[in-house]
Amino acid sequence: MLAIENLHASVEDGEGTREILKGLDLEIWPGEVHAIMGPNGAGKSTLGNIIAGKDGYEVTEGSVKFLEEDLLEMEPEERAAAGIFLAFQYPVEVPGVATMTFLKTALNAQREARGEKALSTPEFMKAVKGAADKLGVKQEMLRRPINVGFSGGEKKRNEIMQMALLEPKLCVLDETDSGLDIDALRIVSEGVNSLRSPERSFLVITHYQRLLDYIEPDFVHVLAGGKIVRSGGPELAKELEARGYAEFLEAA
Amino acid sequence: MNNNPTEAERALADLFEARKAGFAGTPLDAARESAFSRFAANGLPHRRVEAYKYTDLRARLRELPGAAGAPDAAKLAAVLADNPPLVEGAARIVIANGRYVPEHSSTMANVTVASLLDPAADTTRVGKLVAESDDPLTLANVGLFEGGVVINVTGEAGAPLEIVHVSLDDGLVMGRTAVIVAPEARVSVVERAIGTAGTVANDLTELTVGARAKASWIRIEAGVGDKTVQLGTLHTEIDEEGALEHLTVSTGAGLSRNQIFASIVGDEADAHFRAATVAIGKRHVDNTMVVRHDALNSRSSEVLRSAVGHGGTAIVQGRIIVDPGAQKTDARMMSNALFLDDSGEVVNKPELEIFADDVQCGHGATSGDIDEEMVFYLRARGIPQATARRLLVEAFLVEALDRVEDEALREGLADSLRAALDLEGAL
Repeated sequence: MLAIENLHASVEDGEGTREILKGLDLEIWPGEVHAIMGPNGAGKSTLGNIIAGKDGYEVTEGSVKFLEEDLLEMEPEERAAAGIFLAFQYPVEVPGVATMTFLKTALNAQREARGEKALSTPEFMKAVKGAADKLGVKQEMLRRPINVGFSGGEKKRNEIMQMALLEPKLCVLDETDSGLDIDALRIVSEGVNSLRSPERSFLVITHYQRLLDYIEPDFVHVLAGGKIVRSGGPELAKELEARGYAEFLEAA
Repeated sequence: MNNNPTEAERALADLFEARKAGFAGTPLDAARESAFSRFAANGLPHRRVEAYKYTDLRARLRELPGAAGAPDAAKLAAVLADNPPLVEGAARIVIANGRYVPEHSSTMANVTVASLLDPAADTTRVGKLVAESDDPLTLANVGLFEGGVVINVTGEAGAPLEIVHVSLDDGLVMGRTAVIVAPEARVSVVERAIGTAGTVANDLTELTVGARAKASWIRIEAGVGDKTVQLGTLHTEIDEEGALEHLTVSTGAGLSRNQIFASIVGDEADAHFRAATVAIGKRHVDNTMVVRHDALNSRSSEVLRSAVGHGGTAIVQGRIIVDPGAQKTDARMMSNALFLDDSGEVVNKPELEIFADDVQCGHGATSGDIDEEMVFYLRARGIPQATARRLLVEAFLVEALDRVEDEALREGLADSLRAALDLEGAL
């Protein structure tokens, strides 16, 4: 589904060009859940942003293929319509745009891009209600502007609710556990787990092992110094929790 | 004296002589001559007049079209049919080419309407709010108005009033309106300007909000053309526990100046002003407001949202005056501008003159580009870039409409803002 080969990427900041990813390889097949763990500054969020198509990163080498297409050539909205969903670490507040309007515009734009018919208002309402109920998102929240005045937990629930509504093929969760208390973590994880299917894949980016107690991965990768330095099964996450990232920081 | 009048100023002087010859002996005549001579002494205001520094009318109005004559009945009927009321069930008051047209106007219980030119009309309260004004646009209108109405609201108006200014002949038009809302009365007014592209309009409104009365007023200048000139001045006074909700929506005219001179004269009164402006291409929109607090415990707010691009200009001048003794005043002003590209211009000039010591007054201004983090968030959900930018600009403007209670009207206003964004493929 997703094939990343030898990915090198850099950002421009105040001090010049800084290389963040230095030869990252990753392959995800349908139905798999991969966790990417790593210390701060390893390039975890950069990876998520490059997959979603955010501006400000320059890919200097390597390739990213999604369903055999060159992902790097696609606009962010084309990636979304093709089935990529990034759950943001810091969901953006958008004053003035009602959540409901946003969801309808997004869903129908994706359907149009795929050559599908727009949903009628009753069909759309039913789909939203289903997704919202699953994540405990109240109708009142849907009428409010996107994420404005939402608590940290509500914003994350809103992200996963959008994921449930848009039914992507590859879900990238960027530190979805950050800022969540234990109850919100459970609701969000249950929402994610209910979306697991043999066709849908997940890339779960996290600093802590905690989230992986709830969303059990098939594979765990350690990202340090801009590349995957170790891969393994779920047991690797436990090991990292016990021993920390120190050895990888040195290795990188 | 203005020793070197421009062609436009000479034309205005000639027009006054012509008007004066036709004065029908109404009680308002006396004020007209003095107002016009005060206007003529300085002529059209220019950039060295501080209040007009950013909107130089002498330079921009070198020539003026001839004064519009009486409206053609068939043309007027057609224009009105093409522009049905924005609010269903509204009573209409039509002022065409500056003249009140009773045949196309209607009224309702608790509302009486009379022509300012009718010698029998009770105009004793007309002119009170402008008597001390030295604003040149006000003085020009008082001297030169060709007609208009005095509207008395004596109780709760059962439906909105729509005051429609129609200009049919690319002429110079100066309609005048006075609205007196009696104590405890309630009214909501939608004021619209519908005109041909070559119109130069300078209308004047006086609005008196009595004690415990409530008035809402929405002024709409929708898209006509970049040659159109829309100058509009509101003088308003709000008495004890009275409330005014005002909104200006400007999208169309090449040169637009909306002036508001508001005086809060009664304790515990409220006055809230909103403005949504789209200035794209050869458009210059000036919102100038002076809000004076001269009473205890009164509140005012001004929120202006402007979107500019393709060389458009938005001017926001806001002055808050708190008179000595106007304790516990709460007055706030905020101007937010959004640049659609790098060619627009926004000028913010806030002024606070505070002569009381126990007040809360504040002003703020922001201007910026469309937030790219927001654009990316929307695109990451599949919304194409152009649609995402569009949604964000609309949302920014529509927030200025949030005090409009009538949902259909709010949607209609939002639609006109959306249409204005289509000009020149601004996004």
